[in-house]
Amino acid sequence: MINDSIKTLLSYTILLLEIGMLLQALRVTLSPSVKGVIISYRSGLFLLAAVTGLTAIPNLNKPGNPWLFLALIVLLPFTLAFWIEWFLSGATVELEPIKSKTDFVWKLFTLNWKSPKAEKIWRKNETQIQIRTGVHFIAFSLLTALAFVVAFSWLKPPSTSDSSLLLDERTGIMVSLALHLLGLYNTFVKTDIISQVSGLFVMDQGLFLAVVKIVAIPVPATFFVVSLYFYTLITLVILLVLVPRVRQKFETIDLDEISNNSSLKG
Amino acid sequence: MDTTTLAKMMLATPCGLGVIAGLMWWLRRDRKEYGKWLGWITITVSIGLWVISFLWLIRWPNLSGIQDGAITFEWNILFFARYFRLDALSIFFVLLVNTISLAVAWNDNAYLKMDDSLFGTRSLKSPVFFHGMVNLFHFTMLLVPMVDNLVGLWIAIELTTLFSAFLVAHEDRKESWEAAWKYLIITSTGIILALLGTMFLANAVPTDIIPTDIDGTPLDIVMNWSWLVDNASNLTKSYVWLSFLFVLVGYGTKAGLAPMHTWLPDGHGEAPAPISALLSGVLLKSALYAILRFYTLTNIVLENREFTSYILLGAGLFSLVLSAPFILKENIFKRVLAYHSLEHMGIIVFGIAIGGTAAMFGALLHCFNHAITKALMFLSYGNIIRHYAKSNIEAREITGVLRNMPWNGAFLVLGGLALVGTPPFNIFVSELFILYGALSRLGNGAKPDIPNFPSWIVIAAIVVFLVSTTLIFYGLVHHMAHLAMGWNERVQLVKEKLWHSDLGPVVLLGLIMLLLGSWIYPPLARLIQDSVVIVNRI
Repeated sequence: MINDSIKTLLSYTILLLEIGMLLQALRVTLSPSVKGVIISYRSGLFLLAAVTGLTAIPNLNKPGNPWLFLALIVLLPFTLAFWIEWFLSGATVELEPIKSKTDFVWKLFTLNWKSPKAEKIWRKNETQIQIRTGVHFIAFSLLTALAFVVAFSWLKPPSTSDSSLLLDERTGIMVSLALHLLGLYNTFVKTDIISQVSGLFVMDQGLFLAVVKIVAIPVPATFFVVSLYFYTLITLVILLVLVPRVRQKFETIDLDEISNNSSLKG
Repeated sequence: MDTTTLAKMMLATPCGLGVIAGLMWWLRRDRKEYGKWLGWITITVSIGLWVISFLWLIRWPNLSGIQDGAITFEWNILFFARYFRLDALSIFFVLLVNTISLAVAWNDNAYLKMDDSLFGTRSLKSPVFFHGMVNLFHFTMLLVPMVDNLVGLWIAIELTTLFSAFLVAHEDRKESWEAAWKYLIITSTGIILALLGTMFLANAVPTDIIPTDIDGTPLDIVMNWSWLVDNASNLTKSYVWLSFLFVLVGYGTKAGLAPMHTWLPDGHGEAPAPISALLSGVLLKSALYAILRFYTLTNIVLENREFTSYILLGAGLFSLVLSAPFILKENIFKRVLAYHSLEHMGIIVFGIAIGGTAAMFGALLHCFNHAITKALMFLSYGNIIRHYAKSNIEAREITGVLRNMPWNGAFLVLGGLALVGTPPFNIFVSELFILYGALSRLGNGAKPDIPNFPSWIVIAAIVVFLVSTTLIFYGLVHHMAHLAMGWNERVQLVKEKLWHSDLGPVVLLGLIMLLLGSWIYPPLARLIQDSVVIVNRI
């Protein structure tokens, strides 16, 4: 059994981690380079994994399969954090094939999935982009404020005697909503097809958090965990199939260039 | 065979066929003869599935295993969607999916090229891959109306996106990949919001009413639509309210409602014609089906229709108004047809918002009528594009269709006239029901089965509806006149080839369209009436 002081400590730690996730989402928006996006995204995923673990602690002795649930939900962010750079490199340039099994094992253990050619393109794009920090910061504040209003003012959660649970749940809803809105904002403001996908990633984190916080563990949320896997499948299809094809056909990752060369208008 | 077994067969057959075709393609075992066989097998399966759904239609409501107006069953093989439920509304949408899929499967054989270079190379243009994706797409669209669990419903809709994206890009052109890219990015963004909405709904369920098994393990039936409706009085209203907003934006994106419709002209315009027919005829309706389920649930929980109806009225009229200028301007005809889908989704949603028996009946009938007519238009126009392409004439230059291709041209013209609501065609009938539903509300005061709109809102909505549809009428007739009766001296064509795969599905759809214009088949009317009772529940 966990006593009340530990519960309070857990809940404050989770709150801090969630705020950290929000700030990482802001960093994704503010980052001019794909490299920066990757770092912020990875940090966000690690914070998410921590939130998941801490949220699960008080529920691990409950009926159902909370351990399995926890493992499934943590596995996905970690896997994505691990492969993300390789996915984005593959979307940017044609990757050199892995030469041998030894080469594969070496890359696996050294986390060396980088592609110098891809990084060169990312750096080139970085110098051409002007980040409007002020505008993004205002948008971040407004979207977070909107999420706060929805979670704390519009929603009237089911009556519960445990006020700390209520606060925990509302904070979870607020951060999850804010991540969705920020992700949506990112898909609009990013100027290349690689970074545009980062908007979907941020929304993805919001979804994970929603499953963890809104659909309380271990209430029957198996379907939601499965749905996260299906959603990730779509994101991977976008990254591994669609983006490389669009880049090959248009010979650029720049959204303005793609739009200028497009005949799909009107 | 009982209904449950038939339902399982209905899901398993296209799924199995799709997986086999996909594996053949992946293992580079696809050959020209396999492509041809798969085409014929797909047609045979589609006929079989259509016959089953038609039998369900004529036997409704006396199907085996029916209890309280629905057949429920579990099927653990589909772990992500193992709770199934067939009521009048689901059977109506199953019939719609199977009717359009049959016509499309038939036309696929005329569309697909059987070049040797496409086989055994994992080419996305391989006919075997195409058949595989079409069958998987068919399977997911059948899953949508059959599944009871709302998360399973989300997964099914999400899978329709996955398979249809490959079909949009099938021609492997720059434009088709760009269209597929936009389609996937926009609909994924939308669908993520629909999942968030579904999560809010899950949170509306108080933990103390969640059923458990003997060990105290919570059961996962809590996300079943039927369970939620039965326990509606216990759900937290504010969460359900928020859930509906997110779900409407999310599934509304997939249903092509304005302002989230921007993928629609590109997706419909660049996809192969049979796929455009599926997207417009069925995919949009599948997303609408999901909205309808949430609409009913939200109305029951909130104990009124005003909240959902005001939002739907706004979304419907906005879609209708926004489509008009795009239909009036010069554009590629397939894109014009895509904007017509926006218009008709607007009309359907307008009908749902108006509510009441007549308008809701009209809205559901309009789903069927629009699917038939739009599939007819896309398939006949696809035949025309292919025929003109043989003489190196691009889609933009096509004209004089009635003279050069009298059969396909005639059906295209008839379909066009139906699409703009001209009597005596099917769309005229369903639009009339909706308009009658709207007009009959004036002066009748508040009724329990209709939302309580002030009269001036109803009058304004009717005026917007009439003005928009009139403008759209002019726009489409202008496009059709050029296409059907224009003159271009460059156009010197070989004689129209009347092959069964080209003309057969067009004639089939044309006959259904003409028939529904003068007579609503009584079993279909009964099924729609029962569906109206489900949707109008409060």
